Amino acid sequence: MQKKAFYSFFNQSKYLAGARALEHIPIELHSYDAVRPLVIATKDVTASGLKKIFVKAFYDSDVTIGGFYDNVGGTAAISTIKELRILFHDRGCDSIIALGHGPAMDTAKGLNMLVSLGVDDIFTLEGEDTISTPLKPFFTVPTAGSCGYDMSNMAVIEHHRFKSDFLFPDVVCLDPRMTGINDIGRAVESAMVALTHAMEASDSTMHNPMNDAYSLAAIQFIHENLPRALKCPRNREAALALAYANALAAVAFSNAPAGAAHILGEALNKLTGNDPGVCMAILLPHATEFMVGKDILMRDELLLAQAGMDAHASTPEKDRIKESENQLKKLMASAIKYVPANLKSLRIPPYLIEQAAREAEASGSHGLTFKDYMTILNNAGKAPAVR
Amino acid sequence: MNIDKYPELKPGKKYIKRYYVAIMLWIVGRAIQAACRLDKEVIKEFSELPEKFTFSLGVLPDGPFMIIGKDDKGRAKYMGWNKGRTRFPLEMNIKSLEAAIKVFTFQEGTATAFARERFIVDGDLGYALAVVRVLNIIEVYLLPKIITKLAVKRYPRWSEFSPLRKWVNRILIYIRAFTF
Repeated sequence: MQKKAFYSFFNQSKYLAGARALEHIPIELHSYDAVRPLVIATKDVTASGLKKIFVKAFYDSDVTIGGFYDNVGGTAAISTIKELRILFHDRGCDSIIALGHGPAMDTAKGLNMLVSLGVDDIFTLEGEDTISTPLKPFFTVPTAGSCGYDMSNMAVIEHHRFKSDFLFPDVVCLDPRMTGINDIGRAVESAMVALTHAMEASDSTMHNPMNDAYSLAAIQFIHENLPRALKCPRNREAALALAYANALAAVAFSNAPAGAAHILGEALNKLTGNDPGVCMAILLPHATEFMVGKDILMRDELLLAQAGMDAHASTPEKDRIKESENQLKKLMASAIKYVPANLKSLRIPPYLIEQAAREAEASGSHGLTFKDYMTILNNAGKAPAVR
Repeated sequence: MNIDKYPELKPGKKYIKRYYVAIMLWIVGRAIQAACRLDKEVIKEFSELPEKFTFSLGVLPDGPFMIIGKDDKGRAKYMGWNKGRTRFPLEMNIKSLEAAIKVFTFQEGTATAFARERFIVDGDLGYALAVVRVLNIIEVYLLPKIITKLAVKRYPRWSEFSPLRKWVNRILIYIRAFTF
């Protein structure tokens, strides 16, 4: 294990996980002196019956739900956030609970910035570390399809990125009743985002022992449980394990610079509207291959997380990185029904691919050049349709 | 946005579960009082607690509770279920009604529930452990072995808890708990 001269690591969240975790929320709200949360949920929460389960968890407590807004659409919009501010103040709420996946979490984070900091224009806070005071108590209850971003220190509102340690949720509640998979396609996409974040956090030149604990555990959970969830989407144990992996990957992602697959996946999502999970899943094996080709740090601990102790021990040290790449390809192949093998299948015009590479280079977070990003994109475009 | 579309939701009540937990706490409370007059281990545990010691075991935020205190003779006395605003030297509270149901339907043993942070203990931890030991003995008396095994960490062996002692005390505890 490499020893670092200096690193920093931060995680704000407390995790309530497992059976009847939802019922612990009222007592946790009390510990933050909060008794009147505003709940923000995605549209599918009510349709899938999760609202009923959630509301019942507050029975026999002294917490009144100030309002249950279950109308968050596909993206977090500033207009919704401003309307929610009126609801928040009108009902005298003192905390926020986000229920569902990405857009609900981002909307809740945006609302928290507005109501806690008293700003009128949220976009003045865009960028990194622009928040300097703690926000109101913020709890998240992820459902299936919730990806790594939701529980991280980042929010994306109308393609504007906000990153601050104060955006970490105070409490993350992972209850098996909420994480059951209804839409396996979305569950795979979110697992792919989590896998990308975890692999790039553990691969990155900035990796450290604290972050490894999170990223390698996330990789292990995904490699063990994604095939089980694909085989039987109703497997609650596998669904909960994937939710754990998402939570772990979110912490790893929050404490590591973004990797090439993440940056390119985000750029393609912004330019083409394709799901970031799909883009990242296509790009991840090629980004990894590129890094290995460039002799950029890649670690054999990955294989231990991916394939377990027996496979790690029986593979010669010099072959472990190659085997790790094979394991990744094998996992991607098992999800081929939901994640295409190459970028060509997404029918992205070449000029948008070039633009994505340019935007990735402009982000400058990973130190790769336009040519490097184009190589990864071209390899991902040319890959055979069947893995 | 029409904010009336998103009304506030007051917490409802789970009456059946609440009554079930209340009855279980009443039975356990009365059984502790009875056992403190019959079982030497329970008597010893209580004799080591301070004078006028009182503790409550219940469900947050509004109960039900079980309040047990030491009387002038140093024996346990069941003091009811209504705690009001009184503070006790030792308060053992279960965080939610659902967690209490898990404990009182023996889906989770007392030790497991502690390990899973279902309990909040306010007071001396040593006294809390004495209370847990008493609860374990009471469970052995009140419940059949097959259920008690789910509730306690380790079911006592014959050498520790003879069947004669168990059955005689079990009958006497049941009679005393439900009569006077």
